[in-house]
Amino acid sequence: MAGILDVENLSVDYATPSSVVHALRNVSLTVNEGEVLSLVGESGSGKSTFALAVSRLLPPNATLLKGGRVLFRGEDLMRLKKPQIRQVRGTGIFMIFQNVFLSLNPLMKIKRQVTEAINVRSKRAAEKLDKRGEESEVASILKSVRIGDAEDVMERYPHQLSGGQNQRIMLAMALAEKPSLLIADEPTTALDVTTQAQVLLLLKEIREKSKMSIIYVTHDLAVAASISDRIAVLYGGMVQEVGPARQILSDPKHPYTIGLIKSIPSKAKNEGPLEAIKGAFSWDDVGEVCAFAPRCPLARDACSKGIPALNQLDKTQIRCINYGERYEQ
Amino acid sequence: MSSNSKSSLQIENVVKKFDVGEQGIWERLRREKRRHIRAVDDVTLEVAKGETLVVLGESGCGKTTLGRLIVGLEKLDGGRISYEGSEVKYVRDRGAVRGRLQMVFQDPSSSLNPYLSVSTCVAEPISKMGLRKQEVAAKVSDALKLVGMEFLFMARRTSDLSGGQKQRAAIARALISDPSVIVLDEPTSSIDVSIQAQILNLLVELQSLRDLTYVLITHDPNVAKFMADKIAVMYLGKIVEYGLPGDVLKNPKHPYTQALLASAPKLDGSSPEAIGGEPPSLINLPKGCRFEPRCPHAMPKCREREPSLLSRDNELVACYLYEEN
Amino acid sequence: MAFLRNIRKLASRPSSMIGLVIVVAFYGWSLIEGVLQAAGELLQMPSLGWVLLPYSPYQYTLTNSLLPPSLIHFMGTDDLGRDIWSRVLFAAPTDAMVSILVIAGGILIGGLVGYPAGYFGKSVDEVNMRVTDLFLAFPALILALAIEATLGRAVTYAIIALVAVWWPSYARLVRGEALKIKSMKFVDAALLSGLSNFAIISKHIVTSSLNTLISYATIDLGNTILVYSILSFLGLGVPAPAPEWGTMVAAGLNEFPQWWWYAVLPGVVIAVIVIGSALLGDGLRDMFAGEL
Repeated sequence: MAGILDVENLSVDYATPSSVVHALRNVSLTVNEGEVLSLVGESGSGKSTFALAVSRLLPPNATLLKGGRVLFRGEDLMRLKKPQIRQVRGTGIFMIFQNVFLSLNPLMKIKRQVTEAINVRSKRAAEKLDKRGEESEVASILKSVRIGDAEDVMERYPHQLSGGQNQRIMLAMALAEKPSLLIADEPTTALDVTTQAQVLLLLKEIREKSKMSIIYVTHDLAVAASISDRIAVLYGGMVQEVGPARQILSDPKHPYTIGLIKSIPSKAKNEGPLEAIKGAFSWDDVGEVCAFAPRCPLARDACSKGIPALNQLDKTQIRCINYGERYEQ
Repeated sequence: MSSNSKSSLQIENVVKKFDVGEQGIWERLRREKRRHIRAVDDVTLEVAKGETLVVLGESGCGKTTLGRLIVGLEKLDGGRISYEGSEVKYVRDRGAVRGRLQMVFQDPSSSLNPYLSVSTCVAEPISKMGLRKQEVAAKVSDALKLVGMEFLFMARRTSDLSGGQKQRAAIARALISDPSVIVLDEPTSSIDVSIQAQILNLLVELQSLRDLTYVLITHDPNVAKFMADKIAVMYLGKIVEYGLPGDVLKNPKHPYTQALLASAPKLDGSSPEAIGGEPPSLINLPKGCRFEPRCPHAMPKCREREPSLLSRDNELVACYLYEEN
Repeated sequence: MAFLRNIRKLASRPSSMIGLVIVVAFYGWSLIEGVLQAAGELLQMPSLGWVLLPYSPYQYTLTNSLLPPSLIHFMGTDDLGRDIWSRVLFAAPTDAMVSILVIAGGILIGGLVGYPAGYFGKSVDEVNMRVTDLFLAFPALILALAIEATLGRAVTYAIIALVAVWWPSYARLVRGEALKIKSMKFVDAALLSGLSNFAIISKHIVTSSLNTLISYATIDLGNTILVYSILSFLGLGVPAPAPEWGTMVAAGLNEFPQWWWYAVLPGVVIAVIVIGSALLGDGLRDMFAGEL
């Protein structure tokens, strides 16, 4: 399946002082051109690790296991050398983080940072822009993400602006560089609901205009619901269910997805307790069997015979013994 | 707000100011008045015993400050907070009553000392009551049992616990002194959604078991819907709407409440609606209604004077749209 | 103690292990030798302190003067034919004791000044920190020299002078920690539980700052030895013929560069200990950082 990004059998381990953590195990996903794929999961799901691995921004204690391939437009990113990676970054793949100060330089004025982004694109396209041209482009870019007083904001530093403004500026830089693939790692988690709505709408607009593909990492199913074409649900470092967003939300199949949806309060307390998933995620559960089984209401003996393989059901893939008794080798 | 004879917590015309800007020697010599913001500006609320009041709002609206004022962690700059008739005093004042008002904080990693054991943290509220070691250990064990944590956890360091476990320990700590009122400041915002459901269920269970009064602070309308007996919506230090969850959440009256609920993303995939403009700062408050700059229904009158809370259809709303002429 | 759980992380770094070996060897030896020396004084049997040494530190044979390092004299001999290595070993306990007492004193006074400054803020902070600044305004060595010159030549006075110079950096360190920790919600929770300010400081603020304090103090051990050696180099140490590292280096300079080992080798010993404590302290800091 040739999408703009084809991830095959990606596995990442983290080395901690006490043990080795299998953060991602044999994850295969495809992002098609112009599509928004949301990675939904909670702590331990591996969703952030996926985003970092694709952008080759993993921390030093992470190991990419052999056999994994990340094909961006057919080229394996894992095999690229540093200068080639720099080529891909920016106009190929752009990443925005939850903590804006990880992306924006606190010591540089906004104007300079957006200009940098423009320059990356110019170099790529071998365009040349003069100083005045640059300034007016920065202003128009800031206005396109609805930053009022663009001229004023240009001269400020990130810490003088709100979280929402900074996040929108990051999006502005994404616009400036015109990447083919945007990876957003929980960009709105730290923002207020009303600010989040602004950023989400902006993302949708950007996507309409530029046909950018987006990988959106979030723990919030509702956020995923509002912007995704496809949703991949992760648990214990593996994809548990992936398919068209509408389908996953209206007719979830995997017990974890069902449990997640039910955990979101939608009634009053006097109508009874919430249907919570019992127990909690533990790294001890991640091994040779289904990681969710200890918490699953539908668990049976077959679940401990091995790690269930992904079953194709119409347009969705589900990793659950209840939909096909096949196992990973 | 009608006075309920079973009132547990009375919050009357409460004001809290924070100083803004530096005051160095130069400013002091010129006797410049210190600029300040009113994080909580004339708030009046009542909570009946055994009930949950949800304070719904976004960051900067003053809800956290209000929560801290209720338990006495901040000093009042105006108004009065009383619990069952007696005044709540600032925590560092002498004679402040301990234990009857407790708080559960948002981030469990910072609300439990990571270097201490679970039992030391949970035992803290009763550590100064002169109880014997065995009595304290017994109470800690009981409290942990109440929140569904096993006895084994007592000796573990709090930094070893997961987010959900830490929050349970924090709740155990809040319960151990047998309080009547617990203020919960975004108790589930920092933990996974699947664990959030467990914690919310636990809180409801504990409330009926111990006849607890809750003030729950949150920005999440879903949590508000589940937990609330009454909802107060806050914006920039003021209550803009107050009523039953069924009314406030299903038929919001105040334009801000409407905007807040409309911007929340929903599982059915409908697009969140965004309001324009930036969340304003408390330093440059407009003269009239604080929401006016972003309000789609703004009228000239809104810019002149702040609307006060009006009673309308079993609710209280601070908006000129509902003024009877 | 619980903080030793991450000891594996420490063990995995070769530099930290080297530091650990150096520090443990130095203080271990100093403890044993120190006890022997003290016992010897008590029992009026000074030779007790020489039992573990290759040679007596005071034995001089002029015909053996200024012999280069060899198998029989590991660091060679000085101008009076005394074995330098034995003298180095003999002097070690003094430096060990000085370093520990100075750090302890620095932490004690620095803590009394810095914790309240950070926790209470406002006027307490202003007053305490201005006093700290006052002491910091003097170049450390000059202040130490001045104090010792006034008090007199003795190890005790050197320690007092060094403590006076050392405490301000601990005051600053501890104040920073207190500022950081007091904004943690567990301090609010402690207030709600009715703990007094003193209880909060001792139970929460001090315990939470221990990690930083320990790593910093470990690195500092080497620094105190260095400065104390400089003091004795400048002539303010224990009087001759008692061996003292700094004094030995000073005396050795007379024979430099031809009989270089006299000045250089004791200096190398000092350098090794400074580096060792720095490596260990660094490793401890990483170990603590990986803790939480």
